[in-house]
Amino acid sequence: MPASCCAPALKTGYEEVALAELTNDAKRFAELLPEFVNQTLNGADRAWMEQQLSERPQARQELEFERLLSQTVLNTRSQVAESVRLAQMLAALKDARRSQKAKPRASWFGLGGLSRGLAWGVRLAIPVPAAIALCLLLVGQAVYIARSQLPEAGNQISNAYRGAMVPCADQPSLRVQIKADAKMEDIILLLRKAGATLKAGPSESGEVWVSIAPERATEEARTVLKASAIVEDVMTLPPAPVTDGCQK
Amino acid sequence: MVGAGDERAAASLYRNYFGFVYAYVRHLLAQDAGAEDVTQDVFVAAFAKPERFMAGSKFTTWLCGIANFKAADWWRKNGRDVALEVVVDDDGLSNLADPHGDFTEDIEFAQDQEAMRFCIDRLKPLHREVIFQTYFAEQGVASVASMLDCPEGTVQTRLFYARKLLRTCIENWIRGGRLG
Repeated sequence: MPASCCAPALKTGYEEVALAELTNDAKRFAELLPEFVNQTLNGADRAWMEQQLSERPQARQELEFERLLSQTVLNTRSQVAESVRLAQMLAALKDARRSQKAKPRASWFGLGGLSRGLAWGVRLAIPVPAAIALCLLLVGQAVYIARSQLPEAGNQISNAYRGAMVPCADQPSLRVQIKADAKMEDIILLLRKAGATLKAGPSESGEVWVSIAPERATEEARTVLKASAIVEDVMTLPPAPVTDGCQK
Repeated sequence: MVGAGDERAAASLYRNYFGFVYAYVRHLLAQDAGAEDVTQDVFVAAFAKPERFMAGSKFTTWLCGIANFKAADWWRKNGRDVALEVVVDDDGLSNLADPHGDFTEDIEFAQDQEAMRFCIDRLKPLHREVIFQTYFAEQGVASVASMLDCPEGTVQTRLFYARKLLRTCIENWIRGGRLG
């Protein structure tokens, strides 16, 4: 490597311009130079670079500088002998493992856990006043929710939807096929007589679904309905499953 | 094996990867003694908890990740003692006079390398980073851009300006005084 590798390039003025101001060839040369020096350039680019180097003296000076840079970087080596470094590293590793074993397992509920939690908080860089304010806010929320769940005299409305369970919906127990020429008032009178409440219908084919009052037997109501002149048929429906979270 | 406390396995990995990690840390810190200490810390941390290495990722990438944390710790502890004023300033360098004459003809290659090392150490960290990845890790521009999560043009520009600054710095070194 010649000693003057840096000097000729200094005279070219090549580096005094910005990257965007370089000519296309000079720009391409500058971009490809690191890979050319690393010998990782593909064939076509390599041939182009070699042509540039043969034609332009300043390109050769650039290459000299680039080689110096590359070799300096590649020469980044420790000044300490490997045996010394290795022995030190293994000794430090033993110490680290020993201290790991000696350290009691921290529990999040114990004092160790508290210090770990604090360390975690510090790592997250949460300021202490902010952490305290956050804790107070959470405690306040918890107290508010707990109080709102307690039954209070004169607060029946809130209990109705917060504390008390919703009554289970009354499911239809009979399906009644009404004749097509039946009048509305006759249907109403019949339902009253049978103790039935309309739940759904009438459908386009004249079906209605009714539930029977608890004090009345379903079979008895069925008999009353079936005996009517405006009813074609009555069918007993299987009991519907009770929805979760309601009160019978 | 390292996790089971096998020293031979640890020593083997250490021999294989020390050179790369040392060079990486040296370019992060631009300081010899600090680089020695931090590199040792990186290997101790890696071998003490090898289970943290995610299978499927590159071992050097993992070591470099640890090195970044250790280097940041080192800067926190020692940053005040490092002479930051010698970091090369773009404006300061561009205002320097052009050199004249073949004043480097009698300089040996070793001295050139010494000058180059001095000047690399005074580059900004982002310039040192692309210099390391390009010339030591021998990564192409596309690979460096992917690693640093920035456009290829940015890497090209950093590389260009790093070289420009190095030239100016070396001119001053050669003219008889460090940074003139």
